[in-house]
Amino acid sequence: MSQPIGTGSSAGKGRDRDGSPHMSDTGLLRSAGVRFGVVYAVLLAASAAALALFLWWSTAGLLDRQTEAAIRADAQGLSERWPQTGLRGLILTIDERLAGNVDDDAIYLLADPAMRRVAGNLERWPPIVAEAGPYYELSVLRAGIRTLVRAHRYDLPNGFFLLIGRDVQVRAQLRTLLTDALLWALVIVGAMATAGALVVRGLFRRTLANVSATASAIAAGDLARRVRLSGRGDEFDQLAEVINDMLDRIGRLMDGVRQVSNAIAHDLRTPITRARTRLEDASLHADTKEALRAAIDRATQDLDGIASVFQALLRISEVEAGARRSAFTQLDAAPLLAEVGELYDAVAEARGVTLNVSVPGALPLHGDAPLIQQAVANLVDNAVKFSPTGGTVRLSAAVRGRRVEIEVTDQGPGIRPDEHDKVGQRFYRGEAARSTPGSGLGLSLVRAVAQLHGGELRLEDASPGLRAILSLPAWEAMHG
Amino acid sequence: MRILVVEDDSDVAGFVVRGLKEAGHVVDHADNGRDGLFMAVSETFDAIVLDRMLPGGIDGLKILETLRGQKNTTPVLLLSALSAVDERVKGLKAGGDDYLTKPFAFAELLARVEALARRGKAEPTVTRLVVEDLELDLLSRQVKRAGKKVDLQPREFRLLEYLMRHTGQVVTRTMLLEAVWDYHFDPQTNVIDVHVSRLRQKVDKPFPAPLIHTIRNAGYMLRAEPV
Amino acid sequence: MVLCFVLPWAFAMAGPLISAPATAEPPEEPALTVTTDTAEYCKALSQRIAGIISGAAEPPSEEVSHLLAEGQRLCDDGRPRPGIARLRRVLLMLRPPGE
Repeated sequence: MSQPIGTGSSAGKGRDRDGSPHMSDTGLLRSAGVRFGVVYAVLLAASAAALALFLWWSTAGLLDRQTEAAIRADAQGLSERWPQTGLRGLILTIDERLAGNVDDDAIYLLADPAMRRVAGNLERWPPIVAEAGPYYELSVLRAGIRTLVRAHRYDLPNGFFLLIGRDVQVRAQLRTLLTDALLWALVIVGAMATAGALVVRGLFRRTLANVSATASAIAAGDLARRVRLSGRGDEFDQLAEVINDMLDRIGRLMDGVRQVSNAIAHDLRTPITRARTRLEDASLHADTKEALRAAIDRATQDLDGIASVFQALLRISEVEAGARRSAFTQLDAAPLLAEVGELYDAVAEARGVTLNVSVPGALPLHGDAPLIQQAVANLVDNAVKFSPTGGTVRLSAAVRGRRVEIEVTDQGPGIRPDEHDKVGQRFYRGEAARSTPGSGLGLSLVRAVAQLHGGELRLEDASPGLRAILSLPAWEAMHG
Repeated sequence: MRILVVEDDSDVAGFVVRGLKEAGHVVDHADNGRDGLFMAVSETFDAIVLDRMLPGGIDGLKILETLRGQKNTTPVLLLSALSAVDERVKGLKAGGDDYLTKPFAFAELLARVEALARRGKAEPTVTRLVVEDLELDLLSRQVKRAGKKVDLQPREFRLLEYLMRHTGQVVTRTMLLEAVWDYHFDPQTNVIDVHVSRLRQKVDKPFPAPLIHTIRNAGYMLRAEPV
Repeated sequence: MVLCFVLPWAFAMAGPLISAPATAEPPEEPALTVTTDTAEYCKALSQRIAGIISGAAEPPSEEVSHLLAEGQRLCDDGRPRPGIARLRRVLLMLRPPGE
């Protein structure tokens, strides 16, 4: 048996580890597992990038704000000095501050109206600093090394220009650090996504392989196989359960077919043999025309009996296969039951049995009226047939919760509890019934009709007698 | 009556044709669809017995549809081995008047064909059915025999009505089940017999001459003359 | 296979981060030099310190002398920035408390 379709490995072309051949790279793009992995990777990468950007703006922003606050404080201090000490005092103050700049991060530049350097530690005025409003980022050389400086220009009342700045190389280092971290994170994300894709694909493949292998085995004839459940109750398990239910149903249908074949072989052989024997006997021994005619009539009856059994079997199979479900309509079962009651009223009376019909106003159902009628008729027929003279058969119905329950109770011999399940099988005749006429298909049809409607047939001991309950979903239950 | 039988199985056809002839009818036979259609179209019949499965490219349903398409209202009884209810509905929808599944009892076929043929003749709407001294008033739902009122339950009334509408014809148990109870299945026990028996108790027993007769192996018939 | 998908995109994202967001210095300009990172400034600071020490009431503490020597040595060794940093610390320590 060939392996189920593989979805390709990112490990390269050729064969997978388990030896199954896989598709080319174009096939990889079609794989659902890889699609999941890619979605996962994109989500992960987007999250990582968002986090990194947030971190960047938080920390870099914080650093920038601190730098600007320091520059502003510096400018504030200097501007307070200026009116007191004048230009000379300003120059001295700048020198002082530079000498005491233990952090080694202050940048000052005092320039005359012609932009010539007067004081400070910057060699000349940076041409880019053209306005007094914005903060500028300058690239400066410190002992031969390029460094970043954030600076602000202040315009003095006498036309001089003051530039105050701070060394922000730390922030540049932070930026590099974050960028590296982000790249590494993306690499890790890529690796995790690959791993995730492989895991998902493996999971898909295992489940699908499980289902596919089970289906292949069943198609090859092993009807008992079922899809394995992992026990987690997840969507894959639910799928497996649905498939198993379907397989159970197929199994039941096939069993039904087998049963019918067996039944035909066993139980029909008897009347066929009987008819044949009678005809052969008549052919050999009948000596008058009347005797011959009588034999032929009996044989005709036997054949009619066999034909009706076939008909009933076909009917049951038809019902079980669900072929009639498309003809379902909304109906009220109350008049149907009244008609059945009326039909069997005369029969009951003739046998000395009282038929009691008690049906409420309306019994809304969704189903096939003739089938329901025949099912109920079968139940009443049985009840009347098995009732003792003077007994009572009761046909009643009620809406109980979301079900419509139709009950036929008799006072006959009943059915033994251990036979309750078996009587639904075709041709099964309970112990008490062996002596009465009938082919044993009546209850089998009732059961089939019940199941077709999504209901059930329950048999209970009425002590004495049997209570048969046909329980069907009410119309509101299906469309409530 | 003139009856056309379109059936390809020679045994069944022979059996049916012989039976109908013995019953006093004039019978024509075709053993394939083409001939059957030709005969049905070119001549008038009182009833047609039409098999669904026919050789020759034209099957029973097609013949039926052609006839109805030409506004030909000859009553048609369909014969078929297909017993599923959907098939029955299909046949009746195509224009058939009755549907009989194989295997069938000849008496059933005869009763139904005769009923169809008689129905074909235009029947004026009646308000009263009268057979001998039995009167059935359809408007007041009352039954009288020899002037005396007979008390019937609604179902018994319908049963008697059906028998009276088919006076002189054989009415099978299946026909009664379908017509009076709208029941399309074969109940195992003889429910119909019991109902007819009860009807007899009320309509025949108290009076000298029985009107409801049992036809052996077939069904019942209502008429004045004894069988 | 997934890496091939992800990495080009990663680099594309990283690019904007590497370049500076605010108004950036055009690279063609000759860089500005900071004048307080030189050996000359080191000498200027040393002189200033010497002036303060000679004018002080007490001799300098051992820590101050140590730092001063270290700073001068660093400057002479061609490492002006660390040296200047120590000299600045000395100046701070020499400052009268409260200023």
